[in-house]
Amino acid sequence: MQTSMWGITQSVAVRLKWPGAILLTLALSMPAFAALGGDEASVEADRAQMNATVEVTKADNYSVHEMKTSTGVIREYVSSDGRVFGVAWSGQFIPDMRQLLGTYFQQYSAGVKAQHDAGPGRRPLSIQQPNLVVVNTGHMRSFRGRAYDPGLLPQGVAATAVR
Amino acid sequence: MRSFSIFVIVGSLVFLSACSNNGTPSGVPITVSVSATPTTLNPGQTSTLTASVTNTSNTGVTWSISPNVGTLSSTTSNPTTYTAPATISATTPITITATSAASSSSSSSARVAVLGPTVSLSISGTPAAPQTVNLGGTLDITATPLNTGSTAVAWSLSGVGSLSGSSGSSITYSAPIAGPGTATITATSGSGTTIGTGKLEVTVLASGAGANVAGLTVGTGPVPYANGVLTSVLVCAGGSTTNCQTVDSVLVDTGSYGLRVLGSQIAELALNPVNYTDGSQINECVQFLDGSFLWGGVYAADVYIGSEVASGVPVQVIANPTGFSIPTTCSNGGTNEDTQATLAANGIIGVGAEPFDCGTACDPTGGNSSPPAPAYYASCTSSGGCQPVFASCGSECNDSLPLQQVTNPVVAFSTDNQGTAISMTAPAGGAAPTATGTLTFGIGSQSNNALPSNDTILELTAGFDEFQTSGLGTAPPLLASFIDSGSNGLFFPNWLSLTICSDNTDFYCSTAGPVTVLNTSEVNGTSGSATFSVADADTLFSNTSNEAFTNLAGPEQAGSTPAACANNNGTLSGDCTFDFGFPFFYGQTIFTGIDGQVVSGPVAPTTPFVAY
Repeated sequence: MQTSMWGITQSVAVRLKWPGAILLTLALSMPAFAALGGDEASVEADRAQMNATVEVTKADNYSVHEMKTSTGVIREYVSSDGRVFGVAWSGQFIPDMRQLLGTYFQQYSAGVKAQHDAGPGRRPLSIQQPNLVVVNTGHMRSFRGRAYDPGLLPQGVAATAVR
Repeated sequence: MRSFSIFVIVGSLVFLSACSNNGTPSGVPITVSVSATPTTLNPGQTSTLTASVTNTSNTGVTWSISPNVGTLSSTTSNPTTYTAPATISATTPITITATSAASSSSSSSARVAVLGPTVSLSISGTPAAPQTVNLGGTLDITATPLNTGSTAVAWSLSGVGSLSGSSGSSITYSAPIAGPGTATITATSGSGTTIGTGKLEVTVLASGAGANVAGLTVGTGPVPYANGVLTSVLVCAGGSTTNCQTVDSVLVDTGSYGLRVLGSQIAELALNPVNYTDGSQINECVQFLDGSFLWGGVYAADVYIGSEVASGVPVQVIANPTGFSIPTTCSNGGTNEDTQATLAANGIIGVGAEPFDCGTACDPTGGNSSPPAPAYYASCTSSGGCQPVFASCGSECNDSLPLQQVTNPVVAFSTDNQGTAISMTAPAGGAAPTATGTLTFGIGSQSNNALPSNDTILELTAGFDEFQTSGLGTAPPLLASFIDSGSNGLFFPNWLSLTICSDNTDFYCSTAGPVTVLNTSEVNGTSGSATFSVADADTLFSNTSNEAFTNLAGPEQAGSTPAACANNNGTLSGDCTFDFGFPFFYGQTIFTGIDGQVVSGPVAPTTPFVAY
């Protein structure tokens, strides 16, 4: 067992604890993580996980579920047929991307790595793929960004609606 | 004298989960704390280790040391004595651990450093960090040999300037009268296996050098880094003037707060961790706009920059943990920058407009019922894994707990602590292999850091440190603009219809400008213009020798159209930004006034603010 001067030596395997509230279980195959690409129930899962209040605003063929915590805001954009097609965030911290991007998370992670591998230099995150767009900017204690699947945008709804 | 008091008690404990039995009927955790006196030893010297154990009647402990260098007088008596080995080839930090006899998972450690052969350099009695000096200026340097078996010192110089001699315990360095550049002064003592050296880097400037000034460079780092602005610092173990290491190539970042250093670059330092009152070590995860992250423990250090010192300031030591993985809520799908290659630097010194890297959101008295999740600060114990926890920002947050959050070193200086001024010489022709400049500490505290009355002064939104930018094309204002030396370009929404590079969509590949925009404070409405130009990034990057670029810019993609920056009901939202990155610093002086600090003098805006 190697002791690193800077790390902590563990003599037993450690199980990580997820922060936040226990997720609601509403249906048989409730996704633990959800949002983008998920259904409306997954929005409720996110809200519970974040311990947030939610306010719903209806537009023509989609609704915006805005969740506020003491440190920021997350908006989830849900089409009339109950599909989350976009998410946006603004606040002191970058949100839990696994929670927010669901099945798109691995693709997001690969996009972050690709941008990092392109060369040193802090610049806004930009992932522009046919089925996933993720952008993020800001600085320590203040970040804002958005993610959407262009293929899931409802009829007549522009990508700029996700904000 | 320390500006901040750090909780010296070091310990860890078994926590209240169902996982383990702490061995006391009441369930109150057993805590161990250890103190070592002294913490810096020469070979053969001793340190007294004392452990105290609470919440149990069994006060016995078992001691161990790591690495297995030196000896303990007893592994069970309390106190015990650690004796450093009679000889050591290089300075080695030793971790001495006391484990409670009542609970094998309750333990605590203290760190001592055994000094190898070395020469400690000082200026005016203070450990010498890399210095700046003007043309024709001088520096008086004193060498103290340690464990070299000799008091004789030999001096040598590489670079510009000259030394007053080649031997003796003190020497004067004279900068040339023409030709700015750099110099390294080396003091050597001893011979054979006990030879020791000390080195001092000096930056000779045409003007602007001083005790409250550190040198800045672009293009001198370990890897090519376009517009990566770097400085050097001296880091010492808290309270020690001999257990110190110089760290070069530290990114100077006005968009973040606190010093973060690769653990590999300070392997000789016996830093003590900053712990919670329950004794567990504080670890931290910070993330950046591009999705990258840093994980590491929080330690107390004395940080020397120029002739300033931040005593006992919490810093983050970037290092991967052993025995468990970085929580996935920290990595968050991003890139771990735990090496020189991935960070492109040896560390980051965050000297932005906030004193702490989290603030009240992470503070236990900040009004939140639980700490931020995903975790920013985490308590990682020896058996329970990582939990998000609060971390105190101390008296400045009206919290009586000791300071635990990683802290902007500037606020920990005893003077010159109001903020900074960065001046950068623009590369001729807009592109060059290197660029130089200065980082001056203090605002209105010295003759060289007065805030000009005709500057544009923007008071910033507290915590977010942002302002508005208007006049970019015909679009509405951008509501979350910021000035950030750590961003390597100007990043703004493409409302000027520039071409985005086909081979690298992070940058613009057309020329534009000069473009003038108006920056307005959201606090008091004062405004001032800012002018910039854009160059074709492909052209800039085609000369692979160049790293300093005045007109490097790229898109901020969220604002692809002005409509994307408005709220759903048509009002303006804060979603779109103008990131005035490092190109904005070339050819001018940018002041950053830190939230909570007070600037006095004829020009005294309320912090936080930026001015240019």
